[in-house]
Amino acid sequence: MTQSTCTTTVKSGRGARHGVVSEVTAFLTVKPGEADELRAGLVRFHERVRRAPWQEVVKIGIVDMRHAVFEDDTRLLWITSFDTDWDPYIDDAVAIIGIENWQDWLRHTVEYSSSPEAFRDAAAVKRSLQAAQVPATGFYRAIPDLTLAQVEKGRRIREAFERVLDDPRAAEALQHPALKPLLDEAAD
Amino acid sequence: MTTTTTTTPLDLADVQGGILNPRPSPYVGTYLLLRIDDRRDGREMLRRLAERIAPAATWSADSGSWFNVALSHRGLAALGVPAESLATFPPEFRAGMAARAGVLGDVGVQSPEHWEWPLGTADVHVALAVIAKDAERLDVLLEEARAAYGRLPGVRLIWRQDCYALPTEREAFGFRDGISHPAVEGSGIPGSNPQERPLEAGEFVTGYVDETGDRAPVPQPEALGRNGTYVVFRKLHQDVAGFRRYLRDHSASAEDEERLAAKLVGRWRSGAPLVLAPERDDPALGADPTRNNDYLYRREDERGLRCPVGSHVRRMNPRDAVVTGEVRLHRMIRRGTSYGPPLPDGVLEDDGAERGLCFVFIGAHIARQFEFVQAQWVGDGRAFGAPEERDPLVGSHDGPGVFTIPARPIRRRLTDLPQFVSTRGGEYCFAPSLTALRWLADLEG
Repeated sequence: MTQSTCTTTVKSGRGARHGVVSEVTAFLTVKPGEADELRAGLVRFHERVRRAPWQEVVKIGIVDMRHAVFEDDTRLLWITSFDTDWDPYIDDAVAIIGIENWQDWLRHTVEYSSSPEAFRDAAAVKRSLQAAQVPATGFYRAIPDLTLAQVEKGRRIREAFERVLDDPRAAEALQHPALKPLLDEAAD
Repeated sequence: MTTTTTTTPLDLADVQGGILNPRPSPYVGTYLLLRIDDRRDGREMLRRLAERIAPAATWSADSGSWFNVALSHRGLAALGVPAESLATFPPEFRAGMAARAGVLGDVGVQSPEHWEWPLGTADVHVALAVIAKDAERLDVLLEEARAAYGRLPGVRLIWRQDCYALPTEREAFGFRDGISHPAVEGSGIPGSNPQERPLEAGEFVTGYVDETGDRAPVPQPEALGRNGTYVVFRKLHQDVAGFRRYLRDHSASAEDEERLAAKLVGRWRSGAPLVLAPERDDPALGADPTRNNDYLYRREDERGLRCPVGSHVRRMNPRDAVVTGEVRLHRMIRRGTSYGPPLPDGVLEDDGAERGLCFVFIGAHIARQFEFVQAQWVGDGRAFGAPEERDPLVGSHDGPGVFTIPARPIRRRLTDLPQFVSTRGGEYCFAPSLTALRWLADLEG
């Protein structure tokens, strides 16, 4: 078994970026007659990622991800947003999620299975995505300036603030001038 | 991570001695850059040098002095390595450091057109590191080096940089350096952190299983590409006076200055890590190599209350902290050696002298290790959940830098960090195996 990581190439576009997030859009070709197996592999793949604890989600860096099989089961659309530029981190995402979980669905695509390094080389994942990547013409994220770690911290702070507001002494405590920004947020 | 069922023993008899091993302290060194104008003379020089390089299997720092030799991609071409072989090297090595300036953040006044000549130019073919325990032995070895290239008209010495590691092991900003060193599987070289598993040999030597679980392609032919390692050399200027003034201007006392300096770096100047010595310096800990790198982050300091999440050492090696990425894919061996006269203690105004660090990266994957860390973890804050922040010590800032120091009850945020370190130039090189040095020396045509 031989394998390598893949370095940036001319083909490996970073994808469009909005704020701190970048996107990858890839159109892959489904191997004839293997659409159902592809779907089953994708269900397992998404379950694997959804089961990941929060710390692992941050390490992987995938903000969101969707797969759609279309054109009479002949094509696969893969749309993903990354917390960073995707290409320096895809080797990491492959390693953290596990190469076997990527191969579980990628084996049913022409781009991956026709790669000479397929099933031997983790870099084949990146190469097959590079081969199928189409730069997005438009990319929009409603909250462009926050990383996953910042979103998680924001959630912690919101929960902490709610606990403060639940304390009957909160109104008095928030009268201090230094806490005015918090008091301004306390009304609703 | 994938797992492997078979591994090949690391062929230490073929790896250049002194590459993987931590250097003894103190030491002095000279980096020489040479240009090959006649390939036959270049090959003869390599033949002579190869005879003087001990294999890693028998290398010992007790020898007191040693050479290491590495070649740029242009240097390999100048020796007459066939084009089809040159094409098998990774693209970033083929491009060279200057061409990767955008990736590395070497832009603006740090861009290659401002680098010190001949760094970043097509003239850099051979890099020769001459290292010795003391100046007397260095002079002897430099004489031997001259004997290898001096009477060859087709080889020209184009650059020389003298450097040193003080007995205190302190670099120009005053911090103990060279503490962290990974264990390399199969090398017998212990790591400095007993809590870190040895890294697969393929992370540092070409031709072996690496942390992805498999082997990266080896430059061809294998006689040339196997048992080598990539060496990234960078000359970095340190604004010592500016660093001292910043500490003074943002501290209420000398004690505060030391605390702020430690927060920027992640260690006290003694080398004691903040994770293990959060409140005050512990010089005994800093000087103890069995303890001064024995720590992780997740259990002791997940939120960075001891060692800030964005501090220099935490960016260079996040260990088990939660950051975007798999840390074991981005480890490296680093050497830092000072150049220029130390700025006398207490001086706050720049004396105009050039001083700083000759930084050396050693690893088998320039892009995945050196460039990744430089671009993603030093030059970007997204992986750490702080997009607006960079490495507070060595990061490049477009404008004033931001740095958060977690603290109870309230964090401190610095919003006016200047740039303390600037690139003077550098190059990507390949340190061939002993077999490869002989293969190169025996090239024909």
